Amino acid sequence: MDAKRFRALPAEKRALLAIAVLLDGREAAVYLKNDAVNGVGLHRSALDLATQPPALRMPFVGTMLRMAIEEMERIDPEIRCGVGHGG
Amino acid sequence: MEQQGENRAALTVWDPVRSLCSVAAEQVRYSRGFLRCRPEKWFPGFAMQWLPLMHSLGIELKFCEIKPLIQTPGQAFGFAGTVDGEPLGMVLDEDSVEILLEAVAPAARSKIRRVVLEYLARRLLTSLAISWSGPESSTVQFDTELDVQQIRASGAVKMVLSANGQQAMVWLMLGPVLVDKLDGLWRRQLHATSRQSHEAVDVHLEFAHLTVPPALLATYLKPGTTVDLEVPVSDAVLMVSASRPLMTGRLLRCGDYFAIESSNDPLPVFQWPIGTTRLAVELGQMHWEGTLVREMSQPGAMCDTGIQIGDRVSMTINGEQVAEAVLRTYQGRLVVSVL
Repeated sequence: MDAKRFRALPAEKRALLAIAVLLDGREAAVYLKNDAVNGVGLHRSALDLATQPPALRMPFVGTMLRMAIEEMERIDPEIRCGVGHGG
Repeated sequence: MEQQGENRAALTVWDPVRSLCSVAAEQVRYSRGFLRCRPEKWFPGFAMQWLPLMHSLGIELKFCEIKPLIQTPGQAFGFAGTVDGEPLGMVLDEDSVEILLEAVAPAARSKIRRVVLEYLARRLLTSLAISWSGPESSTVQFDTELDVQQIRASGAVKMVLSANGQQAMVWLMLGPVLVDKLDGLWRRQLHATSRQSHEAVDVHLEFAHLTVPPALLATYLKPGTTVDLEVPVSDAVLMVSASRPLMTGRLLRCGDYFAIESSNDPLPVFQWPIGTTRLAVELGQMHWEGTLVREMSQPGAMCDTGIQIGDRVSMTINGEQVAEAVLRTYQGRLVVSVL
């Protein structure tokens, strides 16, 4: 599996990609493609992950999601009850 | 009928500022297009974009209401995107956030909640773009660098959905270009799908009419006479064209002018005894092009009458003014005092 592109992304984007692929599989690439800043990068990274057989993909993406969340929590450990503001 | 002497004291001025609801010019402007449109008609495959995901997550999702509005939500949580470069917001209140997260990612850690919501917002925006069936395609982008709180929306589409039986509200905040585009599109489609062609008409705005024997007309029209119209004080008006009722509506205020909103109340049947004359009490008249007639036939459609707010009315016979009068009220009914 070529996850170089995926691993190069910041933790929040890796978490986003992992959730997208877990929820939508290959379709995730379509939903991420229209990102104004890095649409192509997110699209390709989603395809990289989603093209793997589900038996390999699911545990790998699940592990990547956990790692991304842990990294996000290390960077900003504040526990929030809400979801904060977008933008 | 005629009120004389001490009853005059009970006459009160009909004050349109107090009696009528006020509407903003924007509300009137978009009332025949954007505010009447049914956005779901333009996104035929939208629900199908969500069905497989909801099925795999075991979520029963229903779209309960989709309604275009001019009002936009105040404080809200959300994400932003652009449509052809114009900012668009996707916002929801805290309760709706909880309902959606409870359905999609129950008991998720706080860090992941925002990421899940962001993906759902991206999914929403993309599925709208993919399922759009309108005449022109648009460039739709999700933009994390835009602050949804800074978006100056001209209108919104409120989506009420039910996730596992709990209702959540999602608002799409639209900029002026997109609101104008949807407004124009709805109006064009309305005219294109109209079964009958509508001709231009002169529309008389009537409060009431009386059937008067010709011998009594002079008495009714004598200056100083007060005539009971025998209709309760209300904002109801009737739009009449060529002596036939065209549509029912209600009178509103828009700035310094009267505006009208069409309603779907049943049209009255004009019948009066043989040998009597129909004496109408009207606020004024307007010329409507055929396109406006069609647009106004949608209940809730509004238009500016061009008639300045005031209490003067005309008494007319067959559309010709025969006297001028002042509109007043008496014991909860409308009356006119002939000038």
